[in-house]
Amino acid sequence: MCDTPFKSPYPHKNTKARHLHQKSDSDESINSETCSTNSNSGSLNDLTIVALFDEQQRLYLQRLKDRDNLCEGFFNCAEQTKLLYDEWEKAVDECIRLRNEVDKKIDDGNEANRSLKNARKMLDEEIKKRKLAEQQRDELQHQIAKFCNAIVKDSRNKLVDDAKEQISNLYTGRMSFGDPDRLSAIKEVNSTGSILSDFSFSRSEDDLDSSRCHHRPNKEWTKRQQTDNLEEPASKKRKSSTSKAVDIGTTETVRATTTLTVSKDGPIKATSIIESVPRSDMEHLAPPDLVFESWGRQEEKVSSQFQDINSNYRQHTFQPKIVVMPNTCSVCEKNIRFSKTALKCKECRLMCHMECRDLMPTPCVPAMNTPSAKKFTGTIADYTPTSPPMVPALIVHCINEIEQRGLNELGIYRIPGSEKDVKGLKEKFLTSRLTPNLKEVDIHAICGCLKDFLRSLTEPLLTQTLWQDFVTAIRSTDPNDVAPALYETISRLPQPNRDTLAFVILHLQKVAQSPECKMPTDNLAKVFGPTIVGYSSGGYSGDPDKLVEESRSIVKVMAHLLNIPGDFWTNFIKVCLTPSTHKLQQTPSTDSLLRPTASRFYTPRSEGRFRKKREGKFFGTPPAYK
Amino acid sequence: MASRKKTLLKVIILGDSSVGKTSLMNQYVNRKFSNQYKATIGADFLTKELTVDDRTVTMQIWDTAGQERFQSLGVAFYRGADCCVLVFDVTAPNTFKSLDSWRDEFLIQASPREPENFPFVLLGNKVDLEPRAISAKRAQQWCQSKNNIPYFETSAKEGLNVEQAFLAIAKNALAQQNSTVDLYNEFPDQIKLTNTQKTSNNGDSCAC
Repeated sequence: MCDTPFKSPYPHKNTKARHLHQKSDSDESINSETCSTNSNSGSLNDLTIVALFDEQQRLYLQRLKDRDNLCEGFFNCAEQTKLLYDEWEKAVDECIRLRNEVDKKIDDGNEANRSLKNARKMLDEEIKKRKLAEQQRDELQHQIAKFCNAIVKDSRNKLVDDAKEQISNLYTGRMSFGDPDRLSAIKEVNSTGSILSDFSFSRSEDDLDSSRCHHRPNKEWTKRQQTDNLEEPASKKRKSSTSKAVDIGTTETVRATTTLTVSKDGPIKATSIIESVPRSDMEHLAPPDLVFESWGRQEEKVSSQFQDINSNYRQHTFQPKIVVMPNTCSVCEKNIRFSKTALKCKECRLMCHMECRDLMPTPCVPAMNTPSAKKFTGTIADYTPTSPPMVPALIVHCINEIEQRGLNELGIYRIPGSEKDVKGLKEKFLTSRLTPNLKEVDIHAICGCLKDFLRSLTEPLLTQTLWQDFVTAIRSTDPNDVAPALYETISRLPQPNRDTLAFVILHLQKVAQSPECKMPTDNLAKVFGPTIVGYSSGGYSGDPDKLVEESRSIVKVMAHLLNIPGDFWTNFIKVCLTPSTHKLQQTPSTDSLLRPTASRFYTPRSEGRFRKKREGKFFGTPPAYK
Repeated sequence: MASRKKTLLKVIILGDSSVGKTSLMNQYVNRKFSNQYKATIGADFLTKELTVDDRTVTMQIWDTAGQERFQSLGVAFYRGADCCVLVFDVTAPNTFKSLDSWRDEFLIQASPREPENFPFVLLGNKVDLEPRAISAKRAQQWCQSKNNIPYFETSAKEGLNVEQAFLAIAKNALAQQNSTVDLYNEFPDQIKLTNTQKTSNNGDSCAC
């Protein structure tokens, strides 16, 4: 076939195909190729077509079979894949489960660490206390021994039997109180130093107190401790305050207030505030020339304690709350987990972990009215709490921070902070419910934030309406008239403005007194004048001459305000203390002071002051109350 | 002829508070430096006569308060300035960062004829102090980005470079003044007015 000339392939093939077809179908497969080529050629006849059709059909059937095979293979493959997929899914589930477990374990670990830390802290405290107690015990023992020796040796003959017995009882009693076993029980734990020892870290301070009190001969102490606990079994913070009022003159009262705050695992704070107030009306504004002489003596003490007043004058009112919505702790800025118990302050709506409660920024400044929370500018009243002292949270927190860090910063309030930081900080204060953490912020940015806040108010602190009055007041020809006129004008300010002004000025006076700041009153007046006093017309209109003239008056007004004695301003800030001091006055504590010492022991009301005064002399007061 | 008309140069010193604006001015005019730490109220000015290119000019230097709240007041003094001096403290990065806003503020408020060609001079003050926060290179880069502003590193305390800086300021201010005066001369309005008057006179005579 290959030898045939190229010219005549078709006829030759055709004949051959015809011939083959006639012969048999069985041979067709051999020549299938030839046939298919024939189909392309123009010379077709019926027979070839039939043969071709058969051929096609055969092929078609074969293909079909192939396809079925293929399908089957595919199905198998798919099934295998499905199985694999299932297995993979299971593995993923397992993975998630394991990860969750790991998370949980980490959490547990953290929790354990935290409690361990707490426990360590408590343990340390206890050890310290124990050492002190031991010291006291030794001292007392020593004294008693000496005392007994003296009595027994020198005046044995004169003593009655009863007395002798008492003395010997006393002696043995004291000795048993110094039972080394009891105290060394803690020592053992200390010596092992192991955190895995079976010493219960969860024992609270109260437990330890009362357990130690058991071996004191004075049973009443223990009893009182217990009643104390019964009174407020659930509360975690006990506060006992006393106040004594002593009449000194006809118009003044000197009041000493001691506040003793005992928190469960935090430091124990005792603060004394000694103040003199006009007796007639506490709310009434006391002109500085009426302030009792004792201010002179106490002034320094009070001003040094001003920080304490600041931080004590409004404490948080915590309520335990189970967290449902995700929330952030305002102390450590970490999330509070779902279904954990967190503390929420009723007043300022801040939330924190149970562990963070002692680090909550104080004072608590009640949340401002909701509508203004979204606005950026407004009058001062839009930002202040509704109860006195009406000072916005931003101002309180900024000033607290500045007083902690900035009082020896050169050019504080003069040197500008970075504009971005200032804006960011202000926005954080005004829009978020959290109190921003100020510890890391540049001090000048905090100052800038404070200034910017005061400046952006729709009306300056001294108000537009009273602007002219203030300027007239300082322009008075007689210098003696200036102060009364200013006092009068200040008293006409709305309360939010007045309280905030007082708070800011008290702070600025402290800044002015710091030599490192190099910001004496006249510098501060220049810096704060335009911010606090403002211009009569808002400062954006009028001719330059008038503006220059005004700005000089503004600075003078500010300087005068800064020169008003601090006592005057303190009156506004201390308003808040009034209700609490009133309450304290009604307690019978004053009477108990006048009783003989023996009966004073057992007056539960005078406990706080008593512990403070007598500690260590009659019975070992836990040193924590010092 | 035009330059002799006005030999008073108005120079404005701008910059953040406590960068040393008042000190620079005092050092230049009175050759004194005071260690007093005193803020400026509103604005204040001192004048000094000096000779630039054989011409005696009176330089009126306006020292403004850097305090944010005084800025509304300063605006009134920006108008008619011949040169603006921007000052920053080389030890305080914030004061350098706010230069842009000072420059923009000035250009908006003073609205000079050609804002992009208005002469500025940048002074990096307090070079006697350590540590430096802004390098000369960085300041120069800023100057280049702002149409090649001249830059001087000064110390008001030691009187370093102050004289040179103010001389450059005076030259820049003078150049600015000359160009604006030329601009005024190009306006043909006044001449046209007299022309129309003459023509109207002619008309009258015709009618007569």
